[in-house]
Amino acid sequence: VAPIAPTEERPRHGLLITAGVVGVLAAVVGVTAVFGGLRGRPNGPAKASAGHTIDQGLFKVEVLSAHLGRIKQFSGPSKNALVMTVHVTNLGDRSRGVTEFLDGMAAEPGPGRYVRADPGESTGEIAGSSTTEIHPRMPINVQVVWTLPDGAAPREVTVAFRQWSYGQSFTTDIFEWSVYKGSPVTAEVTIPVRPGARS
Amino acid sequence: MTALRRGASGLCAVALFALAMWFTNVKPHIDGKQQNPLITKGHIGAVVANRVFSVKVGRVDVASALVQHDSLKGDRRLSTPGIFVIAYLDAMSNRKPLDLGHVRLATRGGLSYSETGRTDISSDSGSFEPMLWRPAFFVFEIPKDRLAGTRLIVGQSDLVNNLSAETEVDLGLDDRRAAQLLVHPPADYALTSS
Repeated sequence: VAPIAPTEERPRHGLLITAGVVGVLAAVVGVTAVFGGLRGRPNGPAKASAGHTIDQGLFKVEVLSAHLGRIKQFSGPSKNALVMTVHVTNLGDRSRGVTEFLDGMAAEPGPGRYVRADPGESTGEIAGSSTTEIHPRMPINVQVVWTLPDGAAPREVTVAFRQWSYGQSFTTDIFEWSVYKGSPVTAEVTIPVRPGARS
Repeated sequence: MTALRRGASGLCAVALFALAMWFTNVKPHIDGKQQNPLITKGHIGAVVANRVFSVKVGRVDVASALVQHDSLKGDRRLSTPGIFVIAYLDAMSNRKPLDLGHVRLATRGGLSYSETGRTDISSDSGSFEPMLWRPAFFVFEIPKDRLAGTRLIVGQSDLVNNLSAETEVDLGLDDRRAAQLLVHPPADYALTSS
């Protein structure tokens, strides 16, 4: 019968493994500490003002101005409306409709209350004529319109821009850009509203 | 040392296993769920036919501005920060009345452009009948540096599935031809509305 292997080797071996594991753990803790630890960063939407560039992931946006105006519809009297002009660049790889851009933004009359723009009244504008498409790398201005009750004349408006995320769709498994009601707000822009012409 | 090496090789093996699982299991599933049309490729000037329809792109023009003649509202001039690309084609259905859709201009670098979307330009609608060629044109608007190497993609207007037909036509715009077209693009290109 062969003698059992000398037992002095085993504790040393175990010590080496323990030392290795402790070393790796120490390295992980150290690296985490170097990158700022696990404490949450100050989060919440960035506050921006007119002229700041906002990166929504799929769109790059710059809020230019806001004014009150009258919106004429096919029939009936003209309506009181808030019109905001934003400069939009499509960073994606295919053309998007103006209404798709509107899905990622909303006016915020109070904290946590969001009001979508009126997609039927909002229009895109490129080189002085109106358009419905935002083509990749071809920035356009979008006139975002909210219809207001008559007599309402807000002095300033806050608009929330949501973060588009690129990932697999829940229903179709296709990788696509998406934004929904619960998407995090990436920036809030507060700008003064110019009183508009009366007609 | 041996323990370290064993640990490292173990990690390596796990990583390779994970990669193998991705290729054999995860990726085919993701690809399998994508709805990709069947693409037929061809060139400008030639008839490109698939099971559902046939297309022949006859001419491609570029313009820095379009002029639309309108007897009611007067002539309108549309300019662009990029360049207009106007593709003329003849199309015919091979089976039943058909609407073309998902029309786009694919450029080098993977960016694709839908029809211009200008509300002043009426987009070409109407269906194509079996055995009858009918002319049509599509207007696009792209940045100037994207012109070289563009391809026109035409599909069906129905929802895309794995049996949808799509035709990809090389417009023959190599670097030299594209540069030539961009030297003096017409600024008063008359769009003959259909």
